[in-house]
Amino acid sequence: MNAEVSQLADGKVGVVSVEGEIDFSVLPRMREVLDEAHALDPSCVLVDLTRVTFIASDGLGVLIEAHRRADEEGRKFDLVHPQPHILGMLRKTQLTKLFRVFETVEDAIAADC
Amino acid sequence: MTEPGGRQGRLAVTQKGGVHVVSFLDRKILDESNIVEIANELFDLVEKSKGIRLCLNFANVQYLSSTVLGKLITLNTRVNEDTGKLVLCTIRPQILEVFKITKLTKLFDICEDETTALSHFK
Amino acid sequence: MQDWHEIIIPSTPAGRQQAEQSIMEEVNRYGFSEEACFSIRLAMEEAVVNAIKHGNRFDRNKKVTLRYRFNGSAFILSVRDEGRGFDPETVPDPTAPENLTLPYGRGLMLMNAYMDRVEFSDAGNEVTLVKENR
Repeated sequence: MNAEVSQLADGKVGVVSVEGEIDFSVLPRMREVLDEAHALDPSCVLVDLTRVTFIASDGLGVLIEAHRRADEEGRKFDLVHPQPHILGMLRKTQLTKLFRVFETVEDAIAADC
Repeated sequence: MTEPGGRQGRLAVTQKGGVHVVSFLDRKILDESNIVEIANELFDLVEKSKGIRLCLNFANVQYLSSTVLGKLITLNTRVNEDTGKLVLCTIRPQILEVFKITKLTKLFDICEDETTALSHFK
Repeated sequence: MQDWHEIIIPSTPAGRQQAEQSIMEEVNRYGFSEEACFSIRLAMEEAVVNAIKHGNRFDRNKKVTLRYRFNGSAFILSVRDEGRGFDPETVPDPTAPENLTLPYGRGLMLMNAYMDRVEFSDAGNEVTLVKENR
């Protein structure tokens, strides 16, 4: 699993781009990267799931954690382009009620994410 | 049999034998400035009608950019997820060329005219 | 040979629209064919969107500089952003099966398909497009 953080829109948007599988073994790295994104103090954090092929329930847990923290800090926290099977999982677990899901980073920015 | 339809801002929607036929309205072009609104209207329509049988008629479309292609791909994904069906029709040659170059003719069901498109829903 | 015309815009949709509109008016006035106009419009839009999205990373304060001129029967446009540039060789093939359903990534391919020449500066933050009128 690879993950990196980038900044867009003059620092207003922090994007965490993840590639590969988010399973139990990479949770510490995920938390690290999400912390990095929060530390940039953006108005919104986006997690780009385009290249994520697998995410186990504890991976979802880390995202939920990060969402709660973002909420407390007055930030938005949304997901971008989960692959169909992962979107299916988000729907089944009702997490689409918690996270907004955008097709592209551009869409998220246009919606003032 | 054609049932009465309606206008939703940028789209003209009619229903023909259970198929939603959508034409692009007051603009003859699809570009960055109006694609977000048009896409939102389409996504709303699909959201409201799970399992929709949707035909997009491109007769009025003289131009489109890759952002528009992106929106159509998203639309296609959403329609299929809800076990609906999407067919595109009446695309003029210059626009069809854009679909061909990007190999999106492999992804979408594209018909020459509306009558043929409607037959694809049977 | 004419001098370059220059338009500088902020990285916003309105800026992009304004620049594209005035340039297309000139192109139309110059008498380019319908096919050439379509091609120029498409490639220009893709280049400017890329400049805003990838080059300037949606920072509204950063500028996109469009320069254009007509040289005989050719239209030449350069689009420069304030980004760190990129290597066009690293762009994945949008027609590969795993990329076909991605809702982005086709801009460069369309620029190459519709323009007679597409060249990137060494730094990678400026692209020059050339279209012959046919």
